[in-house]
Amino acid sequence: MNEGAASLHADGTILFCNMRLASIVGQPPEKLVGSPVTALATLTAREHFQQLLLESLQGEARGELQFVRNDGTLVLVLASLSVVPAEPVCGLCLVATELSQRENEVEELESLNAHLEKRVRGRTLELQSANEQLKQQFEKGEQTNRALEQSRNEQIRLRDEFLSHVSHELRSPLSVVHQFVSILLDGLGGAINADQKEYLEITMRNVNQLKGMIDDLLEASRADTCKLRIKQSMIPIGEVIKQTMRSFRATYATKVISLKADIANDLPLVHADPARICQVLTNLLDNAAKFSPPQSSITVRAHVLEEDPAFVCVSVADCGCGIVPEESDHIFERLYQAKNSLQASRRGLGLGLYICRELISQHGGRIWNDDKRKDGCTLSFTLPVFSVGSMIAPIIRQGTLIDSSFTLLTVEVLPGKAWHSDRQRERALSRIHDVLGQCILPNSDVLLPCQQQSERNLFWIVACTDQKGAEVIVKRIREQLSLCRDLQLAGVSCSVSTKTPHLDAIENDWPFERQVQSVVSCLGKLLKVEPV
Amino acid sequence: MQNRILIVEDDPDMVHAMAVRLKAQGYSLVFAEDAISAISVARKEKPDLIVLDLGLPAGDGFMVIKRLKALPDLMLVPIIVVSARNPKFNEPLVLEAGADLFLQKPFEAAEFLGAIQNALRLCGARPPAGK
Repeated sequence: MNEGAASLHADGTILFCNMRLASIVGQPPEKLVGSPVTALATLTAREHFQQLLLESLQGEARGELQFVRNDGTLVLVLASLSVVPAEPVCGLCLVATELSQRENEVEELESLNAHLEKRVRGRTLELQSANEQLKQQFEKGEQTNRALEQSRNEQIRLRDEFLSHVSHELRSPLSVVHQFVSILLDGLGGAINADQKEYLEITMRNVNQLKGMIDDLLEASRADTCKLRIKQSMIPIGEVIKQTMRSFRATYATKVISLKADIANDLPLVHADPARICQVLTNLLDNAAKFSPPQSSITVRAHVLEEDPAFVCVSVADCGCGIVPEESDHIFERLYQAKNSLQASRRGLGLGLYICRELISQHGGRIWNDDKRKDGCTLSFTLPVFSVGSMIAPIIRQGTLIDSSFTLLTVEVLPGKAWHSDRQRERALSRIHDVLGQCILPNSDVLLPCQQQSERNLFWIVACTDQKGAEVIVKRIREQLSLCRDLQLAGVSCSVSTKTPHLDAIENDWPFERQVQSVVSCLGKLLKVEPV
Repeated sequence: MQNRILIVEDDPDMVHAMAVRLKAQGYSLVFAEDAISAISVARKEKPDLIVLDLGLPAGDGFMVIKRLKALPDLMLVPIIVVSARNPKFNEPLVLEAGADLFLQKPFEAAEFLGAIQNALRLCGARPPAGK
């Protein structure tokens, strides 16, 4: 107990005191008992003490007093007096707290506090500086990263620039050669005999090959930096194959190679970029011609893949020297040259099949060599079958069907004036496709490609949004299209209309799968394809 | 009356090749080798069509297109750009500047002649080009 305590008679005589009070005043308790409590205080404080005693008889009193110790030293005490009701006379209780000690304690605490604060401040500063250092190191790391990234981008940019420069410089003289050879072949330089014609045709073929190589260089560089772009739409693959083959008939005729087609009649539409598929096929047919002996045949087959009907498989089979099994996996690698290509009259850059593989894998298909063949070579690739179901699958959810919140936007493209060329038309359409692609949200809206119908070209967007969302999309499409200056120059006009597909037939108690099927077939009809 | 074509090209061999082709088709030809003379020859000769290279001394093809499109008596003359540059980047720029077509070198003769015929036919519907 830190407080000194004593019980007093109503007149102030000490009846009992504890050891603590005795130690505060430096006298044994037995000496204190029986003496007036006011005697503990200094002479000057006694009157005040007496007053406190009188006050306390009314209830309570409290005050600071100077007590005098046995050795004459003074001690400041807070005295609390309270009345203790008892019969026949009431008593008093004194509680004395040594203030000087408390002050010491407070001082000690304060100094301890100050010390602690000092330490905390010190550690805080240390932590702050460590933090600062870490921050600096982090920033330095970030800077290094940025610098590395920048230098990598810079390298890529320089390489692209270099390749595009080289390609430009090579193309210029090549186009002069191309022009003059074609002038001679067309007889504009005078009549030529059969031998001269043959030699010029060989020159022309080589010029075209060189042109192809320059294109390949650029394409391979784009493939390396993932910049190869494809624009998938739904295409009749059989037609694309036949068109590509037609342009090969002349080349093959000179080498007396017969070109056969084995294309299934009921091929479904595939989801592919026709120009890119033509590029891949051209490459495969070029290769096949290169390695085929005269008077052999090359067969192009196209059929639905047996193992997986979601893909169409296209293959080009020749009767050439074939590919040894060890090389089978490597032929699609960048800059790889088949060993036996030395026997072939001409070698390429070893980029053609690499570009083919990159293009096919971007389509979601694969390309491979049939390594079981001994008497020739068969290269096959797959393309995904166009299916409304698989395209819109990610956006069909239970909620969208219940709310019937499907909205279909139709973008109709009308050419304002005659196109100068197919290329210009293609360009305008692909530009519109780009704009539409930018306006949709990849995970909640789907851009469904549509067949081009003669002069009119239709694109469809299925938006899995409510009416408000569709309005926003329409607004965005209109804004974006109005910003395309080249579309204005080409005189293209686009009208955007909103349609809600007739989903009334859906019954709410149908199983979810059946509801989805109904939506898919409804959209399929609008797109004029049967869902697969 | 023969249609007059201005060929703006700095490679003399390429000029020669195009000249043989176009003369065989019965076009009358005028020539310019750089960007500045392209404008002055065009103003003087009033061609019906301009075949323009992009990389030229004393300026470039874009500058020529912009200058021509700013001249009231030449602004309607169709311009066919022939260049070895990458069409992916240059075709949109060329069309935006006001040219009618971009052909990448080397091009097929049929494509070149077809484009010229097409452009002249379309421009026949326009008022005569300053003649």
